[in-house]
Amino acid sequence: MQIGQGFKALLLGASIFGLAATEAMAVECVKVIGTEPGVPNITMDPAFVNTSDDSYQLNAVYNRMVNLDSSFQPIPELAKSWSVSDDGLTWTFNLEENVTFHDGKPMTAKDVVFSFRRLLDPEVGSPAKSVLGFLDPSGINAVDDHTVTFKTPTVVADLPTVLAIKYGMVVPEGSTKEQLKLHENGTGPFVQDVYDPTQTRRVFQRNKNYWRKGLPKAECLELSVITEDVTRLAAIKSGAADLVLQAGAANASVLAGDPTLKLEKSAPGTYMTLSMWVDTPPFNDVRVRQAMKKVIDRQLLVDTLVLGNGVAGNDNPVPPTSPDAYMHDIKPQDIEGAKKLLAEAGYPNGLTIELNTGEGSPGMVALAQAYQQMAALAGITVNIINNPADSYWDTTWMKKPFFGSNWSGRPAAEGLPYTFRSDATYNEAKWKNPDFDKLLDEARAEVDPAKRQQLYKDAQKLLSEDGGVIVPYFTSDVSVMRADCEGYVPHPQVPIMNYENFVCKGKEAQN
Amino acid sequence: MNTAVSLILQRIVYSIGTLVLVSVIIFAAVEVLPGDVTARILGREAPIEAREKLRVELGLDRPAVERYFTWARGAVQGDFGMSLSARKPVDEIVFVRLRNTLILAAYAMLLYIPLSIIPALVQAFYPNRLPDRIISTLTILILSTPEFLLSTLLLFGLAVAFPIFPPLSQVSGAANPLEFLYMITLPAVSLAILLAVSGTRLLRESMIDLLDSDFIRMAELKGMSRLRVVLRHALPNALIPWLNATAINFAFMIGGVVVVERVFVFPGFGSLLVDAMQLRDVPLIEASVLIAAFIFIAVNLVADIGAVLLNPKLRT
Repeated sequence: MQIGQGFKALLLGASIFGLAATEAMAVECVKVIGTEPGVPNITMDPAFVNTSDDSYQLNAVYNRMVNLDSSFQPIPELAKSWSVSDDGLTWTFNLEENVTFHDGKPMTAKDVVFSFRRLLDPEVGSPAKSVLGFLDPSGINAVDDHTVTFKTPTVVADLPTVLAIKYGMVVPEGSTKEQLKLHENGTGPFVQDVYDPTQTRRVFQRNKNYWRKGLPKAECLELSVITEDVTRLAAIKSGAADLVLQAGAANASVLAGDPTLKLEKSAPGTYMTLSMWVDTPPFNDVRVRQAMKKVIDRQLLVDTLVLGNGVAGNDNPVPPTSPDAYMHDIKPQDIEGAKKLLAEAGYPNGLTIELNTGEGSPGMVALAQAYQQMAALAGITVNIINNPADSYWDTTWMKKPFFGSNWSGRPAAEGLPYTFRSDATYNEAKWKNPDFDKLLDEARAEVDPAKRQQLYKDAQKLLSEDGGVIVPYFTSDVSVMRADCEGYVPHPQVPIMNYENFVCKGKEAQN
Repeated sequence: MNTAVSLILQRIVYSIGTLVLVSVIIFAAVEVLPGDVTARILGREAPIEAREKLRVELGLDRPAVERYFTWARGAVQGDFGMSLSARKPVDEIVFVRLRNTLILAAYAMLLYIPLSIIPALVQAFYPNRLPDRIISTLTILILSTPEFLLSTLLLFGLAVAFPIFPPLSQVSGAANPLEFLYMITLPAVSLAILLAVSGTRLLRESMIDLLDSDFIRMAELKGMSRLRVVLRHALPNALIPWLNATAINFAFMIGGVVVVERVFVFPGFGSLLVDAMQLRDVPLIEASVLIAAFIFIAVNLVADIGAVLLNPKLRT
């Protein structure tokens, strides 16, 4: 019986191979490996980016209008320059000329207007609305073929930064989400070739008409996701892969000694949080919140949990290494201070709390365990509840009074309001502070960069001292490539990748 | 013979009933499971309005019972619906994965047969002597090795330290059938070794029992060579329980080899089922579970019918 079935299967298989054989095998592709899987839920539609897996491929085929550099400053992409009117309400973006979509159609201002209006369209239903909701679609207009204006209802001094979000990629006017789900039509450095949402392996060919002359440097790009750490290691060590995008801190130290490999670290960006509901006892007392923050030895967490691949944090979303940080020193561990605050708050014998966590993101449970041990020193008993990873973000996150979370690095202008403003959808701590909101409003409307930076610093200080979110450290992304490859630098904001300059020996672009 | 036919018909009716029951249980289980497909598709940062919009698009706003019957009506006519996440027909997705898995299982089976029989023969020749001891120790060692560890060892041994085989079994990139087989050699070897050791142990036990029995001793007294006795008289008898175990092993390889698939990045059936579950992609889960259930039922049915036909006592 089993032989019969197996034989049939072989015949079945052989009949399908005819298809696979038609695939072009001329030049070897650079092979890029991602970590966070999305299959079969991956999309070629930038309006619906969800997992990192989506970003891995979208960055190969699309361009943003504006992008961010590694310190989160806006840099030109499809918009070569921009300016703002004196009243700060009208932004004018000048677009690159001679840019074409992969189907050959020229890219014009109309496409940019369409792309951003589309993100706001309730009929499309893009998650981008939670970030761009403040924009009025009728305020986005084409002046001529290569000029776009954004009129905002109030002054938004960081508009270019905000428009650089992961959804802010330019698609051709008139595209529908049914078309874009499986088929990209972007302006980016690579063109979709072999693609199926149920297969993790995808192949992209060089865009021979790419508007950035001489780029991309590789002839083609093969992308796949490997979920197992050991397999990623085996793939890069054996040369079956050329680049691992997010290798993970622990592997970085294993691979550092291998002469056939090179490591590239990003600026610190991604952070985990432990969030306390400030409307729920005992966290409604600011002294308890401060005690909860004082018990942490932040540098020790960086040294142990991410093996030094990161920087300690000060309970706000701006890394202390950033020029925008309100303070460059790290809050020290202060057990005596924590005990004193707890006693003042009415807990002289310490207290017992529940911490809900789960591997919603790798490493969250380890952070909770480390926190448990540090808190014990000040008489705080932390009971860890480990929730199932697959439904963590639906059933646990933001639904318990003390829980773990993680966020990608964002510029201060986006990160502070996104999860900390009183009316933020993802206000994890339910922290509502009118002074903080006022500082953000003032900053957003402040056109003088120095004054704006100071306002953001004041807001961070307030958040750090009074807020309900613990940000113990920021992680650097580590990517690993073969020694004969070059040109890839990981970005502190996870959904930003740039493959334009990445190339390996023998896999260069052909003419 | 009439009784045999009616028994077979009866078994087939039961099997269909089982499949219907499985489909209802799976549907209900996914319904009550915490978590939501729209949150999975759009991500945790999606606003409620976007999720509601998607819910209507996917038809999830309709009552569960209605959705089940719509799906079941289609399934009876051979239309398993569209995957909620991939937006492709479910049967296309499942077909490719099932084909991959069947090829892997067949390849592993080919390796499994010699890997389980030859060591047992050696053991039967030298019971309780050194070769038997060595093989017994090895089989126990491998039997108690988790599949993840064995796969990893093979991966680092035969793809990194001695790069003979590719570490990744990404068969969608295979240019021809030979390359396909070359790519899946490591997972096939892992599976074959993992399952062969239990086959070897089973076969050794029954062989040694048999070699002690009267008819074997009779054959030896007649002056037959040891080799002929083992191959002609002991082995065919000992193979019967081994065949039963092999059938179950084969069914297992189709449904439950997620770990091996993950380690070698093999696009197989098991990981499709796990992914579909994580996404709460109901049509994809239903189709995958029904196929897995069908294979188990079919294997059992064939075994039952075979037993009935071979054993007159069971025919009443």
